[in-house]
Amino acid sequence: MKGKKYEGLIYITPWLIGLLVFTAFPFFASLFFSFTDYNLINSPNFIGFDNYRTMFETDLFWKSFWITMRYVFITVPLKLAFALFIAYILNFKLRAVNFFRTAYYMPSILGGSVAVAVLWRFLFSDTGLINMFLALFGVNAISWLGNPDYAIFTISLLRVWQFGSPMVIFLAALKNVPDSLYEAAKIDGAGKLQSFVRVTLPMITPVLFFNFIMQLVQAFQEFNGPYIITGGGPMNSTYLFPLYIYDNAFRYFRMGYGSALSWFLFMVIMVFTLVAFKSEKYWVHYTAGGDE
Amino acid sequence: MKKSLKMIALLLGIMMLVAACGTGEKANDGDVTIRFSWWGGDERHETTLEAIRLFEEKNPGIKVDAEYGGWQGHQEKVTSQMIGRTEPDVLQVNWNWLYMFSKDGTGFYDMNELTDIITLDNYDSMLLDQTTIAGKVNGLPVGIGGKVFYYNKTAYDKAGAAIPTTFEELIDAAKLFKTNLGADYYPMDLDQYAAFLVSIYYLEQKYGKPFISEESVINYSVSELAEGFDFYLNLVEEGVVPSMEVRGGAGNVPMDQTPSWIQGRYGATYEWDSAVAKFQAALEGDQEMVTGEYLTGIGPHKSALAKVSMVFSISRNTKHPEESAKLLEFLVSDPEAVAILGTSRGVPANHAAIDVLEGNGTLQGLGYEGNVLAGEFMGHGISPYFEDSQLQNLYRTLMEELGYGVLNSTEAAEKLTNEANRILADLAK
Repeated sequence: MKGKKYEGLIYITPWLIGLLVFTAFPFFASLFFSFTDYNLINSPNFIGFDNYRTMFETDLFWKSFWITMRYVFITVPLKLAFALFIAYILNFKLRAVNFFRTAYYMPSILGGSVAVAVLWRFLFSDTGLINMFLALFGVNAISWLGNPDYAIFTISLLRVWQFGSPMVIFLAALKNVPDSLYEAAKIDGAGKLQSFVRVTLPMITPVLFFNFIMQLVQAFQEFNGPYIITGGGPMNSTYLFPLYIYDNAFRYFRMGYGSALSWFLFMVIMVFTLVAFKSEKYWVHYTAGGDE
Repeated sequence: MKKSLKMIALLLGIMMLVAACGTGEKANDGDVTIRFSWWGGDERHETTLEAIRLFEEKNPGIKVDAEYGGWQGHQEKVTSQMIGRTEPDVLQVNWNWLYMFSKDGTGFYDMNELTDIITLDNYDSMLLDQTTIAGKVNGLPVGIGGKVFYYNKTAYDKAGAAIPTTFEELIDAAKLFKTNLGADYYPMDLDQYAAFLVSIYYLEQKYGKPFISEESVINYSVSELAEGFDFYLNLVEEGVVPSMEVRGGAGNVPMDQTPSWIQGRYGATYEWDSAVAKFQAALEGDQEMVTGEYLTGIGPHKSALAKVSMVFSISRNTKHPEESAKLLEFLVSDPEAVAILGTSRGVPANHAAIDVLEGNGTLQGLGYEGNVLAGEFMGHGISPYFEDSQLQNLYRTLMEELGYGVLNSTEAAEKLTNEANRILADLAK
């Protein structure tokens, strides 16, 4: 029976090779490169923590870092709130509810595609559809992409709009909240809002937590939107951290520095995820078959 | 029984994996496939594809895989190919890439070894020098390219303005554009990079120095640079060019694709002669473009920015150097190919090609006119590092910060001096 143990391994060999070659190797290679001055063309020299030191002394690094934080803290809550709101509505027995579920999921199928980003750029450009629509109400054209204060919101909105996948997950969770709890709440005199806050929310906290982590990680890695819509501008106001990494690694060939930046981003995401997991016990309620 | 079934399943799986990993090499005996990549606009794509078809007809046994797209992102693509040694056999490269990928001259195939097929005598030695590193010919210069002022004549006519020849006249045109057409009409458009180049244009015309010296340091003092920036800011102030914020409203779009250009609200552009076709093509309706004289009135020096526009190189890793050389020589000198390609890559540098194009009357139009003007008014040329991505990014950021009023001209000049010198020192290492 001992052979059985390895048989499974053999079956997953293709996946294992993929993991080792395309994930594990680049992962550790980048850690190594982050301590070198590798520039793609010459062979790397070990330079210790120089890349990390340079990083903290560079203005653009900090600028990009804070913009990314801002982006994440605008996008994630908005997107979750939106997804939950729509899921909540779609959970009622409405007519044509399946149609709406599909319709709201659509943007997520289009995903982070380049075409959608290009479309977004046209929608929000100074002569775009949004401004044309506003003009109907006599609102002057707003420079959505040209004003450094608005541009980051425009980029955020693209992600918020693609709320389909957390929505579907929320929807599944909402369906799992037993009707008996709502009935009990109703008998106790709770209104719609109260039963949402007191019954629905606590019951779906595990899923909320899951969605939060997933969206957090995704938001930190946003690239396509700002790259195509604004190119990081105006005045680097949408210069998210992945763009900074990309520019250094692939446009300036500072692979070593780029690797160090990637590891910094990785650490930041790690810290946020860890904090989220630590906080879990204070607000996430797992119920299994009724016993706490 | 069960066990042997499992074994068969496993073997099949492994076979599929191996098959999937295999290369897609064609089984046709004797056929050679070479890859050729370039960037450009639609006109260049169409003519190049047609020339390639002709080449394949005339050279049975050689297939050419074309890889082409726009300029945006092309350098990154080629870079990753160069590093991974998966670059195409024949590449159109930007002149300054030679100094990036081939510091010691070994980054590309040395064309001295292919002189059986490629006639190097078809090029001026002065031009060939620009693509030769450490005695190795790293590529064939495709042509000389210059930044030229091109005007939308229809827009100027509507505004009642004449095509300017001095900056003063350009500023006067701005007033006519505003009064006769509207506040969002401008006699010229400059994006961040073009705005920077116009500042440099001003400085070179006034002081007659290249921006980067031969020792790879910035050649202008802070106060001189600040003067150049003030000149740009004045153009914005006078309504000659849209401000950075107005431009930014269109998002990150190439200049020829901004609605304001397409609809004729921007009256001119400062563009490479080899790229003007796409600007003309983008114009809505029957708007007409004309080539403008170099704007003067600042100083005694010639100041057009011109350089080797682009280069055809052969990969040093190619398995088919002879076939690649054949394709290249065909594209740059075969009479039929030259006739098809015309000036889609600007006015060619190859003498044989010039003869053909002069013979059939192709050497006319915006690209050619601009090219001739640039050659006549050429200043000191540029350092191979001038267009380095990091420097370009600095120019752009700087002009944005200047345009949005975050930096004044002196602060911008100081920042430019410090950072550009730091980057240059790194590059020249």
